[in-house]
Parts: sequence; structure tokens; C-alpha cells
Amino acid sequence: MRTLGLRGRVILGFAAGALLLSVMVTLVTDVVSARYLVDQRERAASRQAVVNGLFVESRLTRDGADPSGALGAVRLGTGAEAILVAPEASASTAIGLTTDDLPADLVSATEARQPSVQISRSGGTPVVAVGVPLQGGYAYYEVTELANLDTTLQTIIWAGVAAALLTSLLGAALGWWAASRVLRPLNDVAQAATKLAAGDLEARAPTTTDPDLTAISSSFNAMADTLATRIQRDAQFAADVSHELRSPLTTMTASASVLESRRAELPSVAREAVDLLVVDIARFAELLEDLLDLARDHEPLDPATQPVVDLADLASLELDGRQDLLVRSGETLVRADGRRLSRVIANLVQNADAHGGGVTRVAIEQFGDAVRLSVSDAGPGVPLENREAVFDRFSRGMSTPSRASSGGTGLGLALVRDHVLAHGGACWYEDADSGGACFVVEIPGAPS
Amino acid sequence: MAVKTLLVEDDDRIRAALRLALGEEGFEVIEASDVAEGLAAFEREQPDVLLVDVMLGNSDGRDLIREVRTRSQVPIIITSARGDTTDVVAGLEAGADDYVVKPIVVKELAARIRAVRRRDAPVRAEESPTDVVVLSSGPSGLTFSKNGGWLRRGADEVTLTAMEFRLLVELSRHLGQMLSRPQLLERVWGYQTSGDDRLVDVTVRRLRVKLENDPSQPELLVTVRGLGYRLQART
Repeated sequence: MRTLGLRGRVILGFAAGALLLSVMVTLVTDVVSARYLVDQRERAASRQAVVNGLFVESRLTRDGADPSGALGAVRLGTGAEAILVAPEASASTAIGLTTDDLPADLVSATEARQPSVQISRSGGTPVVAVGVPLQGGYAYYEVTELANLDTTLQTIIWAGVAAALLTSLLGAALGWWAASRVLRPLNDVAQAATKLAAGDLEARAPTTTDPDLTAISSSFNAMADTLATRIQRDAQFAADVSHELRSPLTTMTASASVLESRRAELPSVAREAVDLLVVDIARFAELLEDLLDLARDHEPLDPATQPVVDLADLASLELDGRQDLLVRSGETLVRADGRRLSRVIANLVQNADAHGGGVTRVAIEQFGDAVRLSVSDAGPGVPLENREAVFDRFSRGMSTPSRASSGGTGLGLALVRDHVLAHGGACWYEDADSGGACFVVEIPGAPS
Repeated sequence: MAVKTLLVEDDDRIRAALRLALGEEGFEVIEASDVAEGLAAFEREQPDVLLVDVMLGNSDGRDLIREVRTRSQVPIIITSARGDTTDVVAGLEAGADDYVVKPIVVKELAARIRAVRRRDAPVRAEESPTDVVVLSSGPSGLTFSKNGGWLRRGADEVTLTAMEFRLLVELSRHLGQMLSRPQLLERVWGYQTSGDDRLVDVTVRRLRVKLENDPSQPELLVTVRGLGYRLQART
């Protein structure tokens, strides 16, 4: 079963609470109002019965009416029937209704000249029976069915059910609102974390005065501070290393170039040593540049701040003297750091030349809203299992038994990926139509 | 005659190695290790090109560049150990024409020195016979002569560095047309492969200070949609 989130649980809790409360209120209302209504009806019925009894009495005694005549003149309420018990003959307003149908205590109490009221449930419907002793040995009984009382109570119950549903909904809404209130600071922290992860080292959770929330936001911000300091220190370290290594390397490259230009004057052993030295100093310099590039360019670029560059122009520059390999179609403008994209193209071309038997085709094509650069080569391609790994640092994914002689640093494709990701693009491997490898780079296009 | 190069560099070993290597390339190298020494050598030797390290131990190579620029438009190339930081841009803004990043490949450095020394861009067939270009009219209007090598505001000559001049020449050849940064890098600085856009941007900024009435609201040397620049006459 899927567990509910905090928001879901709060909403459910509020709804259940509201439902429980409204059910209780409905029940209490029902009981209380039933009592009250019965009570009121009972009082009304007895008052009416007394009035009717006195009326019957006056008809009997003053006007000399016979019992059925006296009873016939009484105006009864709905659902009410009356019995007049006379010493000689009894009368009733309903056929077959006698004092036997009345509660025995009521009858005996009335016969003892004691006016009394009783509620009974004969056959499901509550009935109010009132006994009024009259002068001259008469007794007047009135029986009122409280049928419409039940309907009223039912209406109250239905209203209660409707109210319960409504309050549950309101409760859920309240829960949603409360949960949002509670979760908002968490969302703020989550948003700050997302921004931080995306490379915005300035992102911080908003500070709050709420004592319940300061703990989380301040510890998050402390973490972000530590992280930012560490990243800045790393960048500083890279810059320092850069400076410290580049200086001796400059001496080495310059000196090596002197030796190289005097190569002809050297004995053959020294000549061979100089050749090794020159090549490896160059390789070392390249490796240093690549490493520093990797250490440096980890922040995503904001495309809006970048100039518009034509990817096809950049590729054309990198393909110096091999323009016939270049294929371009559609709009090829992107917002980008030209230096870094030149690096991407140069590395892909170099990779194809060093490991893929030479570049066969460089295509720059508009692809929907993006611009695609694909560099194909004449090599054997990359086996399926290595297609992700070729983009790793010092990757052994390419079949390069002698990387040293082919001149790569093992960082070229890692740099490609870094630069492309920083531009919000993507890169991947495909098999070229011609059978070789094809490295594809996609950069979001610059809307013109 | 060998090109006289003043190398201002605080690292003795780099200086020695570059002296040897540039010597092999046919340059005459004069060495200096800090700003004061560099200025003295500049006055004494009148070099054809300056190579200045922006970080000279306790002194700042940019001070030297600014000082030299007050008296000379000699080509200056920065050597920097940090290609990515703002000190390249700061050095260019101080008045340098180009930069190389350490470790320096001597062949490239030699090519850069030769490129900045060519005051006149390669001669092209379509060059117009009437050489003087009027950029703006009025008593303090700007006029410019490629062959004469001058830019005048009214009657006064405006001093331009070699690269500022070449940038102006290239842009005026295509008056009213946009030239992209890579095009300018190739034609003005002689970069065959991709160079650094900042070279163009900073030099354009410097040129605007000399050309425009309000450099922040350029009317002559305008930016085209982040792609490049265009020079337009305003008459």
C-alpha cells in the first residue's frame, strides 16, 4: 500500500475530525430535539385535551347534549381522536376506539379523578394519550398520533448527514491549507536545495523568526555555506595549482623547443631523448589544461548572459582545411560560450582523428528547438557496453592500446560532456551510418 | 634587423628559457624582472614589442602596461598563468593587444608577436582609391585614413594602438556591415583557429572610448545582436 504523504495525512486527519464532530453534533441535536419536540407536542396535546375536555363538559352540563353530540362538536387536531366515557354510555370519534386501547394506568388515574398524560408507542408511532376527568362522572380522553414528529426528526437526521459531509469537505480544505502552511517552509528549503544542486551557490533558505522552523532553515543554510566555502576553496586550489604548474612547464616547453630547433646538432641518442621529451612535455601541458578545465567549468551557464554564436562557424574553424566534411542545415545559432563549444568540437574532432581512423563527417543541423552537432569517424565504433563509459574521465572505453602514441589525454570526452551539460545540452553516442562511431551533441538553439 | 622584444617576467627560469627560445626564432630579447626595471628598459631600448607577465611577484604588470601606454602605442602581449580569470581582461583593458597563456608554446608566441607587429592589415584588392573615411561630420568630426595611419577628431590626431587601428581598418573596410567575432579574430589578430572573444570585446570597448561621444551609447561602433560588431558612419 502506498503511504500517504504528510499533506495527505493532515488532510485526512482534519476531514475525519470534522466528520466525527459533525456526526456527534447531529446525534446530540437529534436526541435533544426529539426530546424537546415530544415534550412540546405532549404539552400542546394535553393543553388541547384539557380545553376540549372543558368544552365537552360545558356541552354536557350546560347545553344538555348527549355524549356523542358533545363529542361531535369538538374540533380535534390532525391525528387526534377522542373518547368520552359517560356513566350511561361512552362515545368515541373513531370506530372501535375504547378505553381498552388506552394505557391502563392512564385510565385508572383518570377514573381516580386525576388528570394525566402518557406517551406510548403502539404499533411504532408514538402516541400521546391524555385523560381529563370531567364533572358528572364523565372522563374525556384524547389520543394524538405524533406521526409527523418522526418526519421532522428524519429531516433533522438528513440535514445532519448533509452537514457532516459538508463539514468533512471543509475540514479537508482546512487541512490542506494548514498542511500547506506547515509545508511552505519545507518547500522553501527544498527549493533552495534544488537551486544549490543546480549550481547556484548563493541559494539559501529564507530566514524565519518562527522558533519551530529556524532549526531546519539555519542548519540548511549552514550546510550551504560550508559547501560554498569548500567549492570556492577548490576553485582557488585549482587556480593556484594552475599557476604553480604552468610556470615550470613554460620553462620546460621553451627549453625543449630550443633543443628541438637544434635537433640536427645532437648525437642520435640525445636526439631520441629530445623527441621523447618534447612530445611528453606537450602531452603534459595538454593534460594540465584538460584537468584545469574539468576542475573549473562546473557551473551551469545562464544562456541569457551568453552571446549568440553560430555552431557551424565554430565547427568550420575547427575543421581547418577539411571544410568538405562539414554539413550544415537549418538555423544553427546557439547562445553559448564560444570558447567552450570550440573546445567541444575540437575534442570530438581530435577524438575521431586519434581513435576513430579520422573524421568522416561533421554535421550541424537544426533539430526542432535545438542544434545538433554530430561527428562521425571511420573507426570500428564503440561496443554497446562502453557507450556511457566513453564520456568518463580517463575512460578505457575506447579501444586504445597505445593512448600515449595517439596523443589523447583521456579527458577529451569528459570535457565534452561537462561543457555540453553546462550549456543545458546533452551528448551521446550513436553508430554512424557509415559504420564508425558518431558522437552527437545537442545544444538548445537561440530563438531568433 | 631582429625584432627587439622586451620580456618582463619575474621568474628567472622562465625568462632564461624564453630568451633562448625566442632567440632561436630570431628575436632579440631584453629582460626585465619587475615594473621599474621594465620601464627603465623600455626607455633605454625602445623595444618593438613588449611581453608582460601580469603577475610580477609584488608588482602588477598592468601598472607597467598603463604607464607605457601613456607614452607609446607599441604592441604589448600579456603572458598569464591564468587564462580563465579576470586578469586577462584587466590586462587587455589596461592597453595590451593580445595575450598568451602559460605554458607558452614558443612557436605560437612568435606567431602572435609577428601578428601584432603588422600595423597594416594584409592589403586587399578591393581597397578603395579614396582612402579617407569620414565617420562623423561637424567641426569635431572623426576622419580616418588607412594608408596615412591616422584617426583625427577635427584636426587633432587620436592615438590608437596597433590592434585598435587594425580593428578600425577592418571594420571600415566593411562599413555598415556586421563582422562576427571569429571573423575579426581571424582578420585582425590573425587567429586561424578560434580565439578568445574577449580580445575583440575589450578592444572594441577601448576603441569606443576613443571614438564615441558616449561610449556606453555607441553610435558609430555598434554591437549586432551578440554576434559581432558593425562600424557605421554618422554624417
